[in-house]
Amino acid sequence: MNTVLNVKDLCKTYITNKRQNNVLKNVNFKVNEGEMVAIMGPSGSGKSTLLYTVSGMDRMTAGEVEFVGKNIEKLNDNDLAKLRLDDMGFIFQQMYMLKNLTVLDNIILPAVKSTKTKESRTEITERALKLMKKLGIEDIANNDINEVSGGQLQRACICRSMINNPSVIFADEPTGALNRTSSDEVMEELSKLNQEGTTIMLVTHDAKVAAKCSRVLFIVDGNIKGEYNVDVTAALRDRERALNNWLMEMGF
Amino acid sequence: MYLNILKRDLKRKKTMNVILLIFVMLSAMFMASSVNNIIAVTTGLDTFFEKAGMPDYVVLESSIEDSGLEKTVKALDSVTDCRKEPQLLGLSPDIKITGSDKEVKVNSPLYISIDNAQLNYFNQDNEVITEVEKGKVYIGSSFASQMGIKIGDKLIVSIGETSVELEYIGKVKDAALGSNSFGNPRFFMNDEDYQLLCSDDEAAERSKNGYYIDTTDTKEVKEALSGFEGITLSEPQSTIKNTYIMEMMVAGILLVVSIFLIIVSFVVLKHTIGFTIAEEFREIGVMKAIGMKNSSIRGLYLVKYLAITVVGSALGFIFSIPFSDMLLKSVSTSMYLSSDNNILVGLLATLLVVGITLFFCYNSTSKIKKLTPIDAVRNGTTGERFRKKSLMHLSKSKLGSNTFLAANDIVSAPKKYSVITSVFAVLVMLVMVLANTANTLKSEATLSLLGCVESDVFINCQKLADKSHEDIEKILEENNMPGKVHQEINYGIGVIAGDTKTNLRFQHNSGTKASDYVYGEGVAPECKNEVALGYVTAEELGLGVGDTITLIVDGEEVECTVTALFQTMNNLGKANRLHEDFDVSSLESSAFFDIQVDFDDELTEAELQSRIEKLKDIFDTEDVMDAAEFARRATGVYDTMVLVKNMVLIIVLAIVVLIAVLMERSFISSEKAEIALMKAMGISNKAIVWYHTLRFALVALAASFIAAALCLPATQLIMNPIFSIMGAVSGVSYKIVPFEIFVVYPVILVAVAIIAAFLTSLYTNTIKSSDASNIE
Repeated sequence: MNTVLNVKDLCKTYITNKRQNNVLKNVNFKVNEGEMVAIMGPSGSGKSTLLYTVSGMDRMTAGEVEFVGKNIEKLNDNDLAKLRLDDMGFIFQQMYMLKNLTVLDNIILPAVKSTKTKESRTEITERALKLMKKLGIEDIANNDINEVSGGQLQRACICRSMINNPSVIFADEPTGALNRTSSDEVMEELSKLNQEGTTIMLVTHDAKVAAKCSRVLFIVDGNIKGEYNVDVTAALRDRERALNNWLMEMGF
Repeated sequence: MYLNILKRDLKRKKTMNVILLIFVMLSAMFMASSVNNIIAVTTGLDTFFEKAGMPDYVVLESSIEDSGLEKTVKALDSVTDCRKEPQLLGLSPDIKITGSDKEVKVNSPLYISIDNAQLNYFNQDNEVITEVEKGKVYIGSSFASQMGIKIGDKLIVSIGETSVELEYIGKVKDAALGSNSFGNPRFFMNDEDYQLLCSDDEAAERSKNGYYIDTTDTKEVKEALSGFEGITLSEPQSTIKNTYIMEMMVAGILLVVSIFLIIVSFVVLKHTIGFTIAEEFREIGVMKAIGMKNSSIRGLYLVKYLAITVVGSALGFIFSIPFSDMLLKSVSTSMYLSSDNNILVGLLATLLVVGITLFFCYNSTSKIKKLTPIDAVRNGTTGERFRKKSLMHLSKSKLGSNTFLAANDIVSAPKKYSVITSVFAVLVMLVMVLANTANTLKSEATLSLLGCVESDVFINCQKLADKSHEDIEKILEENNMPGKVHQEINYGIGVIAGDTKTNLRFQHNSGTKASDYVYGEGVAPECKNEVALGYVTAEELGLGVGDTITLIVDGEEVECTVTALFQTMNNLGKANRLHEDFDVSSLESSAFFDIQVDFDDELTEAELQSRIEKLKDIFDTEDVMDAAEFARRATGVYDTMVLVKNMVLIIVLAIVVLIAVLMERSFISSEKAEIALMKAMGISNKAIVWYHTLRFALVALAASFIAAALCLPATQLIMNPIFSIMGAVSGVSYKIVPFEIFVVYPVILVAVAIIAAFLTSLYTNTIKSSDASNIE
């Protein structure tokens, strides 16, 4: 399998009130095409920082990150923006969307901005509507973002992250602000996308969510303390139980 | 805890608080300076005359020998004081500007020793001139305007064989003879220089005396002086005041500008307060969720706004003083207009701003009652858009994505953007009104208001005094530019209208037909026994079309019918017209207009300008001009109007920049999450900056359209009352220069808004895509 993300000796340091805070310390890992990797760890362990640094949203202090063969540290802001637009998708905990646009317009905006394909706006819209239908939210296409539920909105965010057929979707606690039912629905959709070949890397606190991934990286104090390969052939409940046991062993 | 929340709020929401502080400061500055200006303008002439020590009656007499005028006046019961001010009459050809070939052309300059001054004369800083150094001179403002001289320029002033070289050190505000309508500049010099001029043999012939008479009965003084010869001016203070009408017109514009500034500042302030409180919805919801009472939350915000308002207003009041002075000085170089002693007024105006701002705050915080804790948690954004629908659809739009986002933002928040649009529109419309007025003042449209028909060329008659019209026509023909020459001449004629006996001023031109002129009512006089009256005269005498008046010509009564009424700015609207066949041979002319030339052939603009140059050489004078230039010179305030327009344009652009910068900065502050999200999605900094800039470009464009569409009615609304004071009582046909109104000002507004918004929106570069994860 091709490696889409290769992280070598990644360090990230914040200086707060003249005090150096080493959030990530020599982190090394790889993500292969088609994988669904969860990053878990206690609060403040550096999960989100890791996600934003490897995706180029935040600059690293040291190390190297290769994303689909490109060393992201060597890219300037414009190139990074283009990479994010064309090859990465993002899902946030808070379901951020542009408030003055309808749900559909929010979804198609990255595609309208992208020069990856030469699709017309009508073609983009058709593709977005198909995606929405796939995720069961085609009815809310012309709704304002405040007229829909959190679960629907997060699924719309997934559609937006998918619209440019990215190499990897990065998700920061995608179910963190959802109730259990919505959370299950959203994870169901992400799993389906992964099964269809989309590489996903997500941050979560929830073992139930992580159990749906193929691999779990456990991070403590900016270091990857352990790595767990989920037995994707096992039943979900068994996967969750086994993962919880491993997490307990890791001290989570 | 209360104080802690307040302290943290002021620190944490620094940007929005600073923006609010600046708007409060601007409002206070505009309010305090505008109120001062309004008072200064409306009481301007009275204050000027009072400060100058203007008497009730002014007399100017040529006094080769003692006529006994002073003794006669002092003997009158009504006279309480009579001050005599000796001076010398100069002639334009006897004044030379050192190092310049420029021909000096001014009406009867008067030389005066500062030691003999009987009135208070002011410099441009509104200080009384008490002494003038030897070799230096202050001159009435009309001279510098007409001759284009600058401080430091040297002049050689001669009487007969005696000359003095004088360095020009500034304009003087001369209440008695300094108005544009008089145009008699007085030269205030050191007594030694003056005495040197007086020592010439010719000085006795040029001697004049000014008399400033304080009286309780101006009529008695006028009657007593009727028998004296050599009086060139004998008028009560009220008539002198009327000569300042052009200055008052410009000052009146300052009044309009001030009112506009007050409106604009309050509209912007109200919007900013509403906007900043809307930004607090989430926090208010949280406070409610933890059990704080409405009154406590409201009190917290009111205390915060009170602190900002007090500081902003204090700063605004301080800045208002130089700002007010700058405005007042720019509108009048010949009138004393000052905001001095109006500190109290400024303070009261500032307190009013504090009151109004707090009222706006109180009003806006009333929304606190309606907010629930749910608003705090709902969606994480401002909550201001819960009931709003997206009006545009990117999926269906043909606009580019940046243009779409900009346009969609505007239609999604119409209230917010309509405030900015209307403020921009009002501001640029103000400049357009002034431009229309200035263009009208130098246009052919003004000719009819000046009692002239349109002609190709106007030539100053002083240089051609020794030539008859036939002589001039012959010279024109000899130089291959045949044409017809004619001239408007004013005659003072005694008139009996019913029981009223008076003296009226009539215009007559034997080279035109009465029917060539524009009339508001009736038909043009068709025979010599028919006259047309100005509206002001008709109203004063209670006459209308069809009435009869009797003209006293050479002792004989000539009955004439009033066939038409018209508006004119000549003689403050009190000018009238005789039929061209009326016999004026026995009448003494009181004033001559410029000689008008109508060429026989049709000319292009370039050919006309070439002939003007040729005529300047033939008649050895620079005073050959086209109709527009004649109108410009005749009205006298065109240059000041352009100056005021340019100053207002600068103020307007400064306000546009401030509004664009502060609004864009506040938008960035409130849209931080969205900007971070767009960056996270991969939208480039460039695209975000362009989209933010486009919002202001669209707003400025819309404002330009509105302003251009409304500028004519706005000009009529604002300027008609001012023109009517000058005699144009039935409206003016304003000259709109399409390129200036529909291209220049819109382009300037849009360009300035774009530059300001662009530079401010570069601040979005500091927002990182990773901020999307930790926006509040």
